[in-house]
Amino acid sequence: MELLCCPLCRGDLTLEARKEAKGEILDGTIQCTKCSAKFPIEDGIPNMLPPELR
Amino acid sequence: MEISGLHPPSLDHVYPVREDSLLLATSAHVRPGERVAEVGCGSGLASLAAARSGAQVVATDLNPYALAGLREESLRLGLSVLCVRTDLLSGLRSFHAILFNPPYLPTPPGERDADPWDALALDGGPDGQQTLWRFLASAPSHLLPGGRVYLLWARIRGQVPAESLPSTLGREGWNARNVGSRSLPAEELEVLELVRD
Repeated sequence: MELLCCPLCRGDLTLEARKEAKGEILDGTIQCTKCSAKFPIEDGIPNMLPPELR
Repeated sequence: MEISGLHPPSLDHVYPVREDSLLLATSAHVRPGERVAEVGCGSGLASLAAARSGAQVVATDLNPYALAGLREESLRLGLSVLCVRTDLLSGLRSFHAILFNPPYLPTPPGERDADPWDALALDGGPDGQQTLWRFLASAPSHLLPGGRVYLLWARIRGQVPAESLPSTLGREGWNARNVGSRSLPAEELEVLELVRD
């Protein structure tokens, strides 16, 4: 996670896991601690696109 | 020309491993422990090679088919590549090295590939440099001090650009050095190592 930041404000991110395997998040949500924007993780792939382009 | 042990499978809607992919993957100098990003990763050959060299690798693409394929291949090989769906470097922090094989074919608006994912991989806009410059505008803020960009570039035979890419790069504050070349019937491929002046 230290390699990623919020694409909107470059804030730090927190992770919420719904499904994990081998220490890796398969499904979950990334949230910006600064602007609160949320980004989904699906099948192990974070989607950092703005909502209208997902 | 191939990289031993790395053969990402060909997938529908994903630009396959070609000479340009191989040249970028073999010409980029990546050291163990470095933070490396590959932008517009496609099949992700360069990401896999960087991960195998011991780098910490993030691969980005807009194409979900490419990302799913690369993730599966990295897991199969036991290599760690964080695959992220995003536009270029958006949402990424800073890196020692950033690799990019941009879409570089000069493409008038009416001649885009019908498959949007193929068009994304190939279409460099009317002058072939549209995505390249959009990338380079954002790259400096994603480089650690002394960080390098490895950029695949092609000279298409029979097309004479108004100004050579290295001179334009120099004007834009990049110091460019050739670190790899390959001559093909239709184009001359080059990998440039770019650092900020």
